[in-house]
Amino acid sequence: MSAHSITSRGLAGRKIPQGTLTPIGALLFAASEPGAWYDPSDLSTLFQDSAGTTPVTAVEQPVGRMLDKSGRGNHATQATTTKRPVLSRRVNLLLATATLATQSITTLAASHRLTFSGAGSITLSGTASGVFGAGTHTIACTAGTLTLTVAGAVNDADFRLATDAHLPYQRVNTATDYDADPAKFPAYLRFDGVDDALQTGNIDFTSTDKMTVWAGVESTQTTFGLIAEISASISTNPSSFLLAIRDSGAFDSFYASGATGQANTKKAFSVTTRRLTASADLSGPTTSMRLGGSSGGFASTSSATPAPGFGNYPLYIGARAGTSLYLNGRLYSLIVRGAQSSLSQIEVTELYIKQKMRLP
Amino acid sequence: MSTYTRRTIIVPAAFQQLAQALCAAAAEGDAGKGMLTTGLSATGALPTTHYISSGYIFDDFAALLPLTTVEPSTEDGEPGTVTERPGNVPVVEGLAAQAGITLPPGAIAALFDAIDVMELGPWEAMEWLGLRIAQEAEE
Repeated sequence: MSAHSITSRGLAGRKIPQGTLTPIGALLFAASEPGAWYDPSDLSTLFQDSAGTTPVTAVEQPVGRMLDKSGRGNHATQATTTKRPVLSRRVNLLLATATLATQSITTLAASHRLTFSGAGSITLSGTASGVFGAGTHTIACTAGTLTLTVAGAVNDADFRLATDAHLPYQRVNTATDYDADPAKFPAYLRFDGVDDALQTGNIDFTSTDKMTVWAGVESTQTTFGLIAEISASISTNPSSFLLAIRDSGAFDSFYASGATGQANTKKAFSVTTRRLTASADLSGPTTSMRLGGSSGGFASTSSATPAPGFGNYPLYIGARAGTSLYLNGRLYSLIVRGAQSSLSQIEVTELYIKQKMRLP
Repeated sequence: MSTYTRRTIIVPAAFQQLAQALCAAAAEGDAGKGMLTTGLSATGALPTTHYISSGYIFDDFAALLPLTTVEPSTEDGEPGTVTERPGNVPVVEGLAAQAGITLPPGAIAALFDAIDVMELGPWEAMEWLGLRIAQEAEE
């Protein structure tokens, strides 16, 4: 297939490099830095059960154990089956998309994109309204149930978050049978915002007072969603950190607690797809954040007193202590490095996460 | 090898402890421990009136539970079709007895009458039942 034909078939996304072009392990963990590196796109690191006896072999399977690729053995687990996030590459919210029939779906309060071919039409009702013919349409939805009433022939239909618009058409037959080609659709863990969470055993960060955290996240939730936290709560445990979206309903935030008090950096975003990089230095203590490769516009404050190092705590992913402040969204990548990272290390890792998320 | 089925389980607060104990007893190992900890209410404000768990459970566990299936209507504005499958009361009573859970007669049947077990995802199920997550204070 020529490059021209790839582009003309709408498969230009295949040209995004997907390999691990930079050896992240060597870049970030070659000097015995404590930490953890999670990569949901690597099936060899995922298991359905927390003991690690049943591998994840396909999308839409639960993830009860996710191995740490840093080599530190800080594997993340979830013993309770209902609390396990799910591996997914799904972006098209519809079912039986080849020849669409009338159906209802759940939408988030966000901009969506509807595309289809054929001579028929789709009438939207519920969280959005209107009558649409073949083509591409931008649809602003509220949260709730959207009914798509089909008249005539509607083929290759695709309804997705507008933030996924750069990805090619995704055929969906059933909720578990869909086009999950890794070359086209990024892998992520889907946290349901209700009870999903992972956690590690204690990670000993006491040898360092520096921390860098990278996360690739997609979420439209408007309430506090915890991406990662060491310790059961930064509020009650000194020398810990917290990375969250929609703190107070508005801010993406990174907190670090010193011996007493807290330092934090925060910014209100309108985006739903986030590549966040957060850094902390407990000798200040200070914190800083970047979004999508940019550090501008963040507000930082600190009432913390210095601490000699971070603590020896579990790392919680997707919820506070596994029991509250649940993340409702997708986690594409998470890296925690107990060290100060150079700008080149930060930028290369940001590029790595961008590739994992298949962002343009 | 265990296989899993997706379910959303919502129980009234009065049945939380019993349901938690039965889930822990019915599932292998720790797989059923710690369920039904997320509180719900009609307004999203405290007090909590219900608790929810949503995700994968073992197939054999799912087979014991009642199930409410909601088929959305294809006609705009029309209510969906609801079908109910009863739970397996005698087997669950046996599980409770094996686990040392002493219950008055009819307790499991009352529990199954009171809970909602659905194939819907958690947010669809909450919308269907008119419930929201009861928020706690933030950071």
